[in-house]
Amino acid sequence: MSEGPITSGHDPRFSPTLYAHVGKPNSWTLDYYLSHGGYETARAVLTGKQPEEVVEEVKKSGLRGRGGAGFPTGVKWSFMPNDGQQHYLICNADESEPASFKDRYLMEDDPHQLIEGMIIGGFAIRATKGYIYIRGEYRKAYDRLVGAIGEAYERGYLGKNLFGSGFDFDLYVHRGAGAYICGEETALMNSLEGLRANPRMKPPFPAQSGLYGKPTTINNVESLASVVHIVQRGADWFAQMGTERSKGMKLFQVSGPAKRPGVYELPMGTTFRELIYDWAGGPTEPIKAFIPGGSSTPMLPFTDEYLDLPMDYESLVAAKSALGTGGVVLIPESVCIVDSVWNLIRFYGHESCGKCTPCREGVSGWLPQLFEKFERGQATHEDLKTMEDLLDQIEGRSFCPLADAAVWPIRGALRHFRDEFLHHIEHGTCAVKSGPRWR
Amino acid sequence: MGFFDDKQEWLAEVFAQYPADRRRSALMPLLRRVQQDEGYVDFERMKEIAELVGTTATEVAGVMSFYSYYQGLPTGKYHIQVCRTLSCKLAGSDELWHTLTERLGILPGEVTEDGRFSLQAVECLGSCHTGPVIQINDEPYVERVTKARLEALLEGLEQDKPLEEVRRTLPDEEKMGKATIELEGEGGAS
Amino acid sequence: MPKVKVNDRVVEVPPGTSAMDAIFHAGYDVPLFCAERHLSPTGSCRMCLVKAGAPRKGPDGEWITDESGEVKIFWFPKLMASCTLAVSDGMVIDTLSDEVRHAQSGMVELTLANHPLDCPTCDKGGACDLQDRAYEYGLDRKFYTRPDGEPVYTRYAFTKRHVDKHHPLSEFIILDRERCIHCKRCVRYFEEIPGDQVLDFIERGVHTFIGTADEGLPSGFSGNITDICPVGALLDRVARFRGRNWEFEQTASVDPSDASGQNIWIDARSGRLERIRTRENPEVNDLWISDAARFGHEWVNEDRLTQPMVRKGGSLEPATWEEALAAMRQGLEGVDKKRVGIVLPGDATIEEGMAAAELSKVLGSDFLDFEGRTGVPASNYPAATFADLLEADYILAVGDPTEELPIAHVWIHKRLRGVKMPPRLNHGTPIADLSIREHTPPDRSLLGAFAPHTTRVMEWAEASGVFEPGHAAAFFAAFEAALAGREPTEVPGVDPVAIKRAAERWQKAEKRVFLIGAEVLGDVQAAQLAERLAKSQGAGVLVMTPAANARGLEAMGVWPTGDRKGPRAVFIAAESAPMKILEGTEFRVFHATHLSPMVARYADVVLPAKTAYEKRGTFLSAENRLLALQPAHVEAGEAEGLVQALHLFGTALGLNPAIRFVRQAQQRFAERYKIDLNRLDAYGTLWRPRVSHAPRPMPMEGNLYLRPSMWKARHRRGPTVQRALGVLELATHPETALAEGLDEGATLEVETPEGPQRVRVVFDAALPKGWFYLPAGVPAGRMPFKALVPRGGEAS
Repeated sequence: MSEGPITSGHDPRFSPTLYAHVGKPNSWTLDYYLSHGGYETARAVLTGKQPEEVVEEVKKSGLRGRGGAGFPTGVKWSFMPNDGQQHYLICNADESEPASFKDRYLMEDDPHQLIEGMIIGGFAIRATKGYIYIRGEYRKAYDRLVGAIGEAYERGYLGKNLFGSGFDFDLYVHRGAGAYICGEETALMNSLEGLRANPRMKPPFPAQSGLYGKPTTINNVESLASVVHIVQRGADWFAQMGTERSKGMKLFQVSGPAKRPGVYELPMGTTFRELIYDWAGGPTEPIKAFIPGGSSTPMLPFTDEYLDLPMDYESLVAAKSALGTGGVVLIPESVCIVDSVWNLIRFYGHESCGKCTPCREGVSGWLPQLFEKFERGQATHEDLKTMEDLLDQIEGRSFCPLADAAVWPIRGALRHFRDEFLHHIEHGTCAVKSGPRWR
Repeated sequence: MGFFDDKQEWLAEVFAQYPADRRRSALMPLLRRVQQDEGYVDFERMKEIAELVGTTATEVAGVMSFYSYYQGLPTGKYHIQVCRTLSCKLAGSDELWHTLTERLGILPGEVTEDGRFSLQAVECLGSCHTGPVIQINDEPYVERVTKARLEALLEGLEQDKPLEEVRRTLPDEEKMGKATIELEGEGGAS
Repeated sequence: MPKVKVNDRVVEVPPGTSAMDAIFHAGYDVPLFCAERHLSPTGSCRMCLVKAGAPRKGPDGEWITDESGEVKIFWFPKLMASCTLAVSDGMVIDTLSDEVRHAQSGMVELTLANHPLDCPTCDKGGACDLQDRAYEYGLDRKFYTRPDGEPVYTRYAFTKRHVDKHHPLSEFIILDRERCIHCKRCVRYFEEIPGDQVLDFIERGVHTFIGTADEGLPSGFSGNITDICPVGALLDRVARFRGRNWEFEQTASVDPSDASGQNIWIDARSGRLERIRTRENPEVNDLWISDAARFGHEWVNEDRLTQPMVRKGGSLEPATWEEALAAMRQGLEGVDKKRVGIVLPGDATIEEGMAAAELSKVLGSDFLDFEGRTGVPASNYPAATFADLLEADYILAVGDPTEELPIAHVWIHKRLRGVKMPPRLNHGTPIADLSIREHTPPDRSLLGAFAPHTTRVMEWAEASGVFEPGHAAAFFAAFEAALAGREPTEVPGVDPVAIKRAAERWQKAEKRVFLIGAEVLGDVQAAQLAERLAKSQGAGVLVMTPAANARGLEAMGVWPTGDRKGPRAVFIAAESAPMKILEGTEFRVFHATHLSPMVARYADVVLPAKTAYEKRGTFLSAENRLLALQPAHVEAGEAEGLVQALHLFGTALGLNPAIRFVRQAQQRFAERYKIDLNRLDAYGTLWRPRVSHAPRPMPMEGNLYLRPSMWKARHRRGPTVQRALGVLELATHPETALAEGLDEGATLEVETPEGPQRVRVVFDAALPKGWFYLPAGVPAGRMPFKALVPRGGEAS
């Protein structure tokens, strides 16, 4: 067990890092953070390293963006020019993908970890200003962040000449107001600029012209928090966890009828079975499907074949799904798949920004109506064909990935649970009988 | 008198977060402040904000209507936002919603006669493991809103107790606000 | 230059060109709705999807090849919107494959899903991008057939979105929200072209709609959105339900309202002028025209004079042309020909100016003038073109570009946003110009703006100031002092810091463009200082003359030199004329389109005239650009052109003037200047005539300041324009108003050159004290402020 990469939370070499302090009394205070070695990594970096070294270390670690798309963080940083302009580092804390709630506790219970990660990230990309764009509904996380930033300023961990290194870093928190699209990085920048949060054209990419037209990097909360530990313990420490191309530990989430729903920090490559049964305590009722990585990832049947899949980017792509944000949802036997997917398509329809035709007319307009027709028992085989055609008309043709995110759950449902759609067509009702779920 | 006339210090703090020539960035914080204090943002306030951030009322309306938090119609003292996305749905948010509408006798856009409550169905609040979840105004979530907890919550609010106090005394409140939640023995519909 | 292969054709295009423009340049078509010339590309309609790929270079710097040794094309994994894809060398674009056609037809289906398809009642019908593209690219039988083999046109079987269908955005523009396909052209237009953020999307997703919260649209440049709307969502209310697009007789001409030379299409139906649209001229007005140019045409159809009139026993009576000639002969008998005056309208053509000048020469008269003439000829200044504005490192405006030379407003804004003159491709202006960016704020350091009243361009100016009317010369003296490094001399109302800042910027700039308005041109001293400044510092000047063809008429020699006693008999083709001429002459012939109060009161003979929309002729615009007017098919009875009317007037004087037809004037012009006015360049021909006229000051007295407006008096006769503009605003400093006993909002009547006008008092503390400002719609000037009804006005 002690040889090879760590791919299970049961491996004795693994211990939670990002969530090490989550849930501890007063874990969000500066004193607590300092008493656990807080800001020492930032001090060492700012006083002893060059930005390029930090970028290299992160590249070497193999850290991939934890916001869902999985783009290598170090590579993203290396796109930033060294041009003497004002640069910005934005932390994407808009955590809005249904089934994702991991970043919330990083901010609520360990805000200084994120601040330290942003200082290091800011140093690496030569940004002296940072913004945390936090979804508006995360009130508690917002309060804790603002409190932590205030403490950090007071005691010299933010502001001018940090640790006597000559590096300045200012950090601000900007609250969203209820728009999923703000998780898309260019829409987020528009929102931060006080505009409607429509995604922007790329190119120019944010590293060329981002916030206020300046070179900008946008990273997820978990990614930035991970950086602290990668830099502190070295890329090799991080890379020993996980699989060949999916390195490190990651925050996985479980929701739906499980005994212990919540966030679990595990090495990449841990199986769904381990997450669901060993950590989340197993289901509380019979399950037929699970969403593997946040609502946009195509659902998979709750069978041995899929439960034994390791949670890494490649294995899920091979299973025609995606790792996404690592948010697992258990869908019980007694719940109609068509109804569940309708719920999600209605979500994406509600969140469509309306900028481009396929998303506005297809995702926001047409698809939810088609699902309603299924739910009412009025759908025909022709409607099913139309729906599948529509998915082809929408997927890959919209301005930003939101429309794709809406298409994938339908694709997953049609791939594995087509019979439930057919049941709606042929019998006009759900294939299962749902009872009350509210307790 | 303008809404922001007596809030110059606060305004200065907000504007200081953004570059001096990017006052427009303060648009969302200003809208939020009006929404928090007045329960909605009316046309006069939109014009005032436009003036402050250097744009037009049209632009403010465009931004405001884009986000679901800002309201164009008055809301109740307690604006109850109920999450309806999948994980909460699996925890019974549909039934919770119907119970609330019937119990309060209102639909979205309406306010109870006593001015106390208004309702809004919202999308995923990011607390999927503790569904069903509701948020009241801009306050931290009320999680795991079981029938018992909802009843206690409404009773408390109807007596105009402070929201924090009501929340503290909800059944099982000590289990909430945590990254994992133990539901041993609760069993679902199985 | 990158080489791009479009289907089977290889073309070279400038770097940065969009794939869309490469496709059109290569002679292929691709459907589009959201892309539009001169606007930032957004890639939102997704109609222009194509398959694209490009070669890549290996680490050795060589193209990567495939097994067969050919340069390998790496195809993009998805279809790409060609409007937002920049070409690269070696790029391959496919617009014809089934995959592409399937995607495009699918997008048409989605675009039409919520469109009402109410083409029979839509003014856009027949000229609608959506109709054309749906027909060409809509659901293809190849991909969509019903089980019975019939083609499928749509599979959307739900109730279409029902929203506001007749939503007036202003008196001029009506919005049908059901027809809107969310291309966002109108929103981008307002922000990027005139610089008004007055239209935006409201709500999101499928509920998104276009709206304004700013109480209507500002009138100025709003009408252009009706031209660029690719569907019938935004329509010209003035022309609403006036005809189907294929019924209009379309005439390519030039707007006669101001000296911009805006290119227009005049649409007439059954002898009525029903609509004016923009005509693209990338060197003059791109795709844009002012609202005055577009909507200010209703007067043309209303109460036209259709036959001559002769004064008989005190009143004007309809007459034949023969009777009019006889009456003129009688009235002019024995008159001293040297004292016969001619006053032309400001929009008289070069040909008409030449005819008048020839006649005046034969008469030996020095009394030849035109309406809107300035104290110093516009021709004195080295002309700049609008394109020069894009190159300018500093722009100094002394006057009101928005009102005096409207299209300059658009060019100034383009410059401040960093827009460059686009290249010309085979299909013209690039449709998706990737160098134009959304949300680019104007660079204020490039503009200085000074005027005797607040102007709209001042919002964009780093240095600006409002000086007291009559102090333009003081402004230039101060500016010269600042340029010389001295402390600027005092200019009432203007902060010396602003003058110093403008002088600094001016000095540092290599290319300067200077705009001067009527206030400067009317003041001989100021005009001469401005001339010295421009010439000594090497700045191009856009002279914002009140007359549309001032430079053309000046070039033809239309300029008064006679003594102050004035003529004895006069031929007036202008809409208004100085009191001295009206009152001091014994016999007056009017060539008029309408029986205005002035004509009714002073005319001895009236000859019915054609409007500038009905003329063949040529203007020389503010840029010194010759532009051709063509006659639209408007029914105006026996109305005749000015050349014919002048000829008849000459005949009545016993002469046989050489120019009787426009063509003769054009022949003479060709002989004299070697330019064939019938064969001008596509975007007009630049021509710099040598002109020399002595300054001729205009009377400038009184404290009622008639500020320039793009809306001329005649436009205001149109009912829609009247409603849109409402009661005229009399702006004044609060103290000045209170001294007169006028409260804010009070309405009263004041005397204007047009006769008494009803006005409403508005306070503006930024204005100099002691003055009243009225946008009078006549060439800028001033007269004594005289309130007619009750002193103090009526309470509002």
